[in-house]
Amino acid sequence: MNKNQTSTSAWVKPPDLTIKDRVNDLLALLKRHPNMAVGLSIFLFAVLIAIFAPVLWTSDPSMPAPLERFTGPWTTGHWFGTDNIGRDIWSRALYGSRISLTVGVSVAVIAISAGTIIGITAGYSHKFDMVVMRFMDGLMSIPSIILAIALMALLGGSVQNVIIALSITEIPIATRVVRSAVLSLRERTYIEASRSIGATTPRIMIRHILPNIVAPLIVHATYVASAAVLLEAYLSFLGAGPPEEIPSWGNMVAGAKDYLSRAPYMIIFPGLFLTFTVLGMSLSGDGLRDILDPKIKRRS
Amino acid sequence: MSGYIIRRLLAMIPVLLVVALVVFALIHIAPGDPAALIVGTHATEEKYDLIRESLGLNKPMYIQLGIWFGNLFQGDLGESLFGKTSVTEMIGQRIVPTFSVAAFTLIFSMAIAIPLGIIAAWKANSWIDRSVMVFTTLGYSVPLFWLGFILMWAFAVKLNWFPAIGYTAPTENVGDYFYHMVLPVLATGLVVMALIGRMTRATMLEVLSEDYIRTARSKGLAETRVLLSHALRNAMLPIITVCGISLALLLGGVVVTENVFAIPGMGRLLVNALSHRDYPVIQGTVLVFAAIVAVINLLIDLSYGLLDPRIRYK
Repeated sequence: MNKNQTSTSAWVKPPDLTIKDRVNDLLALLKRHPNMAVGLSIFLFAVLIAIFAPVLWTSDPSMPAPLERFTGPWTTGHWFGTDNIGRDIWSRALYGSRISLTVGVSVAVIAISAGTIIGITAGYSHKFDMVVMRFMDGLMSIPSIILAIALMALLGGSVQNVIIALSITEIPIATRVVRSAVLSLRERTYIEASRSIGATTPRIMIRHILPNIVAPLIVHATYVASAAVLLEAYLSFLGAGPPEEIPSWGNMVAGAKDYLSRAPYMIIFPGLFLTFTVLGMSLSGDGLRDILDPKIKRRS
Repeated sequence: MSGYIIRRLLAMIPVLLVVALVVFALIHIAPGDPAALIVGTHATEEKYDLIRESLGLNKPMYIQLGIWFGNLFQGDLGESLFGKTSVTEMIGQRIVPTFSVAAFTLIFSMAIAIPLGIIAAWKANSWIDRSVMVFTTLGYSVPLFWLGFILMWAFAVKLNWFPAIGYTAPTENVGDYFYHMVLPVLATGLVVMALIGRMTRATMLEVLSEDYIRTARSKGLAETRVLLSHALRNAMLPIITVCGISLALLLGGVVVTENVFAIPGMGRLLVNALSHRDYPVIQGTVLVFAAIVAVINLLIDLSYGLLDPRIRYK
C-alpha cells in the first residue's frame, strides 16, 4: 500500500510515485520478508553468473588440457582446479548455471501454462475432468524422477528433451493446483453474479477465474523451477540428461565420482552451485507465498 | 470396515490401469521407431526385424495393447532384450535392496523429523525452532547424490567408518547388511526428514492453539502428557499422510542413491536398462515402482481408521 495515497475515491488521481518511492516500498517489503530478500538475491546472482559467464575470467568449459589434469583448487588460472581431462572447473561451474536456469525456467513456464489451461478446463467441464484427472492421477503415482528417466530413454539425451520430459512430470501437479483453486472459486458470489448478467463460460474463465489464481500459480512456478533444476541434475548424473560434454552440474558430479579420493573438489564446487541455486529458488517461493497470500498466517 | 477396504481396492484399479496404459504408451508415443533406436544405425536388417518382433511392434496397436494387459494380469512383464531373462524375475532379484533402503530411510526420517517438528512447534520462535526451519529449508535444496558423495568421502574414504559402496544380503551377513545401509540411508533421508519435519511442525502449531490444549494445561497436566497424548495424537493423521506423500519422493531418491552407492536394486536396474534402451525392463520397473506407491498409499488410507476412531468408513 502506498503511503502517499490519501484518498481512495475513484476520481482522485493518485499522486505519481517517484522511482525513489518505489525503491523504498520494495526495500520495506523485502525487509519484512527476509526469506524473499535472501532467495531473490541468490537467484539474481545466479542469473547474472549465467549471463556474464563468458567475461567472468572463464575459458572454454569443454576444452581439455591434458597437461593440466587434476590441478588442485586455488591455483592461478584455475580457481576451482581442473578435472580428470584438464577442463577448468570454474568455467564449467559458471557455464553450468546456464543449463540449470534454462531448464528450471522453461519447465516452470511450460508446466504452469499447460497446467493452467488443462486445470481451468477440468474445473469447468465435468466430462473432461473425469478423463483427464484419472490420467493425471496415473502419471502422478509414478515418482517424478522415474517417469523422467523413462521419458528420457525414449526421447534421447539433449537439453530440449530434458525440458520436455520434466514438463510432462510437472504438468499433473500444476493441473491439480489450478483445478482445486478453480473448484473453490467457481462457487463464489461474484462468479454467480457475472453469470447472472450473461457472461459466457470462456469469459468467466479468462476474466474472472484466471486473475484470481495468478498468485498461487506464481508461487507454484518457483517450486516447479527449483524441482526442475534438481531433477535435471539427477538426470544428468544418471546419464539420462544432456550429453556428457555439455557442462551441466549433474554431468560434472557424474564425471567426478570415480575420482572421489583423489580430487574431491571436482564434486564439491558443482554441488555448492546447485545447492545455492535451488535454495534461492525455494526461498523466493516461500517469500512470495507469504507476500501474495496474506491469509496464511505468518507464524514465525 | 471390510466394505471400505474393498471399495478402496476397487478404486485403486483405474489408477493402476492408467499407469499401465501410460507405461505402454511410453514406447509408442516416442517420435521415430523404437526398434530403429535400439539397434542403432549400423545394424543389419535381420537384427532390426528381430527387435521389432521381440517388442511385438510388427502387430497392430490394439493387439499389442491386448497382449500387454493380458500378460500383466499374469504377472508377466515381458523379457529383457538382452539375455532373454524375464523382467519379473529380474525385478524380483532386486526388490530387497531397494525395499531395505526405502524402509530404513522412512523409519530413520520419521524417528528424527517427528520429534524435531514437535519440539520446534512447542518452542515456536526459539532458536531451536529457527534451526529446525533452516535445516528443513536446506534439506530441500541439497542435491541427494552430492550429499551421498560428500558422506562417502568423509565417512568412507577419510574416516573409513563405513563401506563406501556395495550391498550385502541380510541372509549372508546381517552385520554387513546394516553396515552398508548407513550412508545410503543418511543421504536419502535428508529431504524426507525436511518434508516430514515441516509438516509435523505446522500441524503441531495448529493443534497446540486449540482450546482443549489450554484446558489440558490449565487442569495441571504435565507438559509431556499434553504434548504427546493430547496434541500429537490429534496431529498424527496429517503427519502420517505426509509420510505417504513423501514415499514417491523417497522411492525416486532411492533410485539416485542406489546409483551413488552401487546398490544392486531396482533403481540401478532402471538406469542400466536406460543406457542400452532395454524398453521391457524400463517399462516393468516403472510399473512396479508406481504400484508400490499406489499400494502403500492405500495402506495409509486404511490406517486412518486405526489412528482416529472418529473416522467411520462409510
